[in-house]
Amino acid sequence: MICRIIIVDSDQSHAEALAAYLERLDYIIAIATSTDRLQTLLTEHLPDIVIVDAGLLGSSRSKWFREMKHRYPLIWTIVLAPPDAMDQLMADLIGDAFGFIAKPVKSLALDHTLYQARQAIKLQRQLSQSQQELQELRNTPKPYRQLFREMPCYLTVQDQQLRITASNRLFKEHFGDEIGCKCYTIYKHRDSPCPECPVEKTFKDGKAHQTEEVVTSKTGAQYNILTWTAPIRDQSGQITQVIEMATDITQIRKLQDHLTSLGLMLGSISHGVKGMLTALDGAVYQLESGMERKDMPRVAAAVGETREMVDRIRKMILQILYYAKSRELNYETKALTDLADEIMAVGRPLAEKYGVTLKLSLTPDLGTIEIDPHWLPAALINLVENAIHACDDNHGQGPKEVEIRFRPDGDQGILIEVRDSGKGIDKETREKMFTLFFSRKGPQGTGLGLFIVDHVITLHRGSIRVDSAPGKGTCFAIRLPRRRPPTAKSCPVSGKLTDETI
Amino acid sequence: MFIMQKKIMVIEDDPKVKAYLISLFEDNGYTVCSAGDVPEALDMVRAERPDLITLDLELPGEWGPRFYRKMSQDKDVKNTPVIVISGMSGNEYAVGKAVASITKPFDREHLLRIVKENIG
Repeated sequence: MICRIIIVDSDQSHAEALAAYLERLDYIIAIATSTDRLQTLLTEHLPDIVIVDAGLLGSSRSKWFREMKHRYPLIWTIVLAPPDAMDQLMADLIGDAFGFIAKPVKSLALDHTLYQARQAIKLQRQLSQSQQELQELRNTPKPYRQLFREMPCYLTVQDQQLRITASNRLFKEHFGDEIGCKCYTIYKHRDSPCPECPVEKTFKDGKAHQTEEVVTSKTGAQYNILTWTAPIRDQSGQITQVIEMATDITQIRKLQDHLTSLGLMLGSISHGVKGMLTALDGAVYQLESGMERKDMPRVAAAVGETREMVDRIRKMILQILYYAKSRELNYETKALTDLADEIMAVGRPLAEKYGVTLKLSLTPDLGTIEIDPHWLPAALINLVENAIHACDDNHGQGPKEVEIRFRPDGDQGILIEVRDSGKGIDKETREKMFTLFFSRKGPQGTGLGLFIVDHVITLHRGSIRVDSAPGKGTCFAIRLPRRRPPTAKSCPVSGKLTDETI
Repeated sequence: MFIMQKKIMVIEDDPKVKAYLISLFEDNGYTVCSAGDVPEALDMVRAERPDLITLDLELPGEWGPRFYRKMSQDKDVKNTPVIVISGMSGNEYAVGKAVASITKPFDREHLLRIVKENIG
């Protein structure tokens, strides 16, 4: 330990002699011959110990020592005084000076006092270091809290009732910061826990569990998330809470969706395509043989069959093309009444087939709209077909009615509603329904329809909203701008799925 | 001279394809019966004793090969010739003892030729 000392003595040569002695013992020494000089040295030399000749201080010595102690509490003071003055001095300075040495100074007394002072200094330094460490220890949870808060994923801590007891910044940003709400209410807007809840599983077996979910943020944005769970145990090893980490994999899923969709779709529909082609062969055969036999009813039936099969094959091929080929919107100005007629022309026969009443209501003077004359009607027809199928699912309960409504939406927009009297859709289905391959129709559905509908409407810079509840029917509300947006006027839309889709 | 018409049983779940096969065979002088799934087909093969069967592989519930196995266990009908007509590729391996395996969409003259070769 390096030790720095200032010797304060009016007798310069005495001070120098002391200094020489102490320097030999490896102390670093400075000399002050007046109290003024000492003031400067206190800041320059930064001493651990000050040895001061009491004679220099005169009658104000008590005050001087108290001040020293107050201003420099870490500096130890040692007083030099003649033996006859010592008793009075000790009485005056009790508690304010560390040591007293009689003049002339004996080396043993000096060594002894300095040794004690150094021990005291060492202890004091250890103490202050420990104190500092203790303080740091107190502050350590802070970095961990910050880590939790800033993790680039959704973090929640949940109790046995699946109530959220803590969440990080990103979660709060996207899902709100209501503490104590149920996980499934916030993430999924459900009324009961999700099937296969990973948090419940972790509470049960203490292991990490994983699921993939589609969740909806407070702004209505959908995220594909990958969740992992881990138990939080108390000191006795009991699981008190479970931490759930959810990573946003929406972008990856979008890419994957697109890449897999082609292969998967071609694979899954090839059987259907073969069936359709065989049925088309059949229709052509009926047509030919009917003509040979002049069997007009057979010919008439065959024409109907041919048309139906051609429609089905066309629809399927268009869906494939939508994925396989780069596509761009070719805007055309269309009268809204023509658009409505086009949709009704396709919807009416289907509605008749299923015994569904199809109604159209238009406000007068609807005017025109700029749309892609191929994709937008196709998307609307898809919605109307879905609505008719939804009524058919009713199994004779209640009226079977589909209504299509066109009306202006402000000065610049059009609102198209497709409303059915079907059995309605629960909220979870509503949130998942625009994602790829989500189908309620089982083997009859490709899971492509609504995904493409949503995509087409998004490309038109429009929006689609679903309003439904089980037992109350469903209403799809599509809002479209009347005029194509400036950015869409000249630049073709890339065939890839763009960021703004779903 | 009275000629007994040969009877063909069509096992096919797609109603449009089924209707096509029925017309095709009837127009060519065969009597036709049909079934849309395996249980129905098993009942019918015993009741109708067809001279030939066309079998789709993908049927609702139980698949075509199951029908063939069950049919083979019934000595009264087990020697009935079977033509597999299916959309699956590689279907010639599904029913090993089938007299022919053809894929959808099929050439109708080809099908009629196979039928004629087997039952006249």
